[in-house]
Amino acid sequence: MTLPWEALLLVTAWGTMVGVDLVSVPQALFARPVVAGFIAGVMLGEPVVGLQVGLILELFAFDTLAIGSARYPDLGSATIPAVVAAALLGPGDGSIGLGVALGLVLGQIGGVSLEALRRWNGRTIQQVESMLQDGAPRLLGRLQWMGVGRDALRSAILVVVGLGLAGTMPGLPPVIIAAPEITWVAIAGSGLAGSIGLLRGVARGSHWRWFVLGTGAGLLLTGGLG
Amino acid sequence: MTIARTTVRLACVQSCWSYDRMQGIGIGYASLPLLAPLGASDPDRYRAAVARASTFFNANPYLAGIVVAAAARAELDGAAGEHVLRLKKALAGPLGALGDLLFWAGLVPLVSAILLVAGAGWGVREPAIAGWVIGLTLVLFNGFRFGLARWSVGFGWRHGLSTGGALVESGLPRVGPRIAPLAAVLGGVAIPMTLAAIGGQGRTVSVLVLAVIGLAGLARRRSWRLPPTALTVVGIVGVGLWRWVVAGAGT
Repeated sequence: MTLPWEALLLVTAWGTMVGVDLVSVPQALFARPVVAGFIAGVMLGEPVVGLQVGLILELFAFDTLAIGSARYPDLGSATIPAVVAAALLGPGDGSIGLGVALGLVLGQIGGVSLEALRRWNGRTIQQVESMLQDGAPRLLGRLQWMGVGRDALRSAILVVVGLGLAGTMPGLPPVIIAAPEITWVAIAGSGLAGSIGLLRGVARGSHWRWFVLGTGAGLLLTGGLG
Repeated sequence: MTIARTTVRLACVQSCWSYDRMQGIGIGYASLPLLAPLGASDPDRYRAAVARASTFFNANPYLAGIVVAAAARAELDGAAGEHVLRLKKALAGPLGALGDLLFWAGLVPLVSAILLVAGAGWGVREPAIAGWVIGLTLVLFNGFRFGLARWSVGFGWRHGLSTGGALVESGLPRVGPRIAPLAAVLGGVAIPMTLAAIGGQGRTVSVLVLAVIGLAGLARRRSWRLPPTALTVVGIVGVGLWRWVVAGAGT
C-alpha cells in the first residue's frame, strides 16, 4: 500500500494539532490515542486500523499521568505514525503490533521533546525576566503564542520523523510482518499497562473491587466466560 | 464578557509552561481581561498586579480559573501585594489536589474507558457508530470542562481573598471521589473488551486478561515497578528477531 501526499499532509497536520492539544491548547482530549488514531485512520481510509492501533495505545495511556513537571510520553502524536505504519504494512498478522511498537518508541521520544520544550520556554522567559517583573501585559500574550508555536513545531517534527520511520517498515522481512505473536505481545503489554495504570489510579485502595467487578462484566460481554 | 474572555484564555494556560514559573505566564495572560479596569484607573498598580499574576504558579489547569479570578478580585479590591501572593500560594496545593482527583484520577480515565468501550464494542464492525460515540463523548467532556472553567472564574471572582474557605464549603471536593469507582468499573470492562476486539473472542483472550490483571495486581501488592512499555517493545523486537532467525535457519 502507498499513501498519497495529500493524505500524508493531512495526517501531519492532525498529528501536530494532537501534539499541541496534549499540554498547550486546548487540552480537549484530542491527544487520547483512540481519538487520534481513529481520526488518522479515517483520513487514510483505514478507520478500523486506526481504531485498533488507537485502542492498544489508549490502554498504555492509562499508565501515564500528564501532570505538572513529570516526564510523560506523548502518545497522541505518536499514534499517528503508528497508524500509518500499520496501514502501510497491510493485512499481515504482525502489522498492528509493529505499528504499536513504533508508537511506543515515538511516545517516549515525544516525552523527551516535551522536556526540551519546557527548557526552551524557560530560556525565553529568563531573557525577558526584568520586563516581566515590571509587569508587561503585551509580553505575556507574545510569550503564550510563542509557546504554542514551539509546541506545534515540536509536534510536527515528531510526526514527520515518525512518518519517515513508518515509511521504512514495509522493508521489514515478510516473516516478521506476518508474525501474529508480535501483535499478541502488543495486546498483552497493553492489558498489563492498562491494569497497572487503573490499579495505581482510579482503582487504588478499596476501589480495586470495582475494577475486578468491571473486568468480570467485560469478560461476560465478550463471551470469554462462556 | 470579561469572564468569558478569561475562560477562553484559560484553554491555553499551559502554553508557555517552564520549570521556573510553571503555569505563571499562562495565569498572567488569563488574568489580563479581569485586571483591565485597573489599567485605566491606576496604571502603576496595574503593572504591579500583572507582574504578580505571572509569578510562579502550578495547579490543575482545568481549575486554574479559580486562582486567576480570586487574585484579580483581590487586586481590584485593593489588597496588599503580599496578600495576593499569599493567596496564590495557599490555593496552589488544594487546587492541584482537587483538580487532579477530579480530572486525572476521575473524569479523564472515565472518558478514556468510555472511548475504549465504544471503540472496542462497535469499532471493528461499525466504525461509524464508534465515531459518533467518540465525538459525543468529547463534546460532553469539553462542555463540562469549559462549563467548569467558567464556573471557576465566577467562583474566584465572587470570593476573592476568602476563596480558600469557600472552596472547602463548595461541593467540588466531593465530586472526584464519586467518579473514581465508576471509572474503575468501566476501566475494568474496557480491558477485556479491548483485548478481545484486537485478539478475537475466545478462551485465549480470557486467559490473557486474567493473567495480565493478576500480574498487575501482584505487582501492585508487592510494589514491583513493572515497565509495560519497555517490556512490550523488547518483547516485540525479541519475537521479530526470533521469527527472522528461525525463518533464516529454515531456508
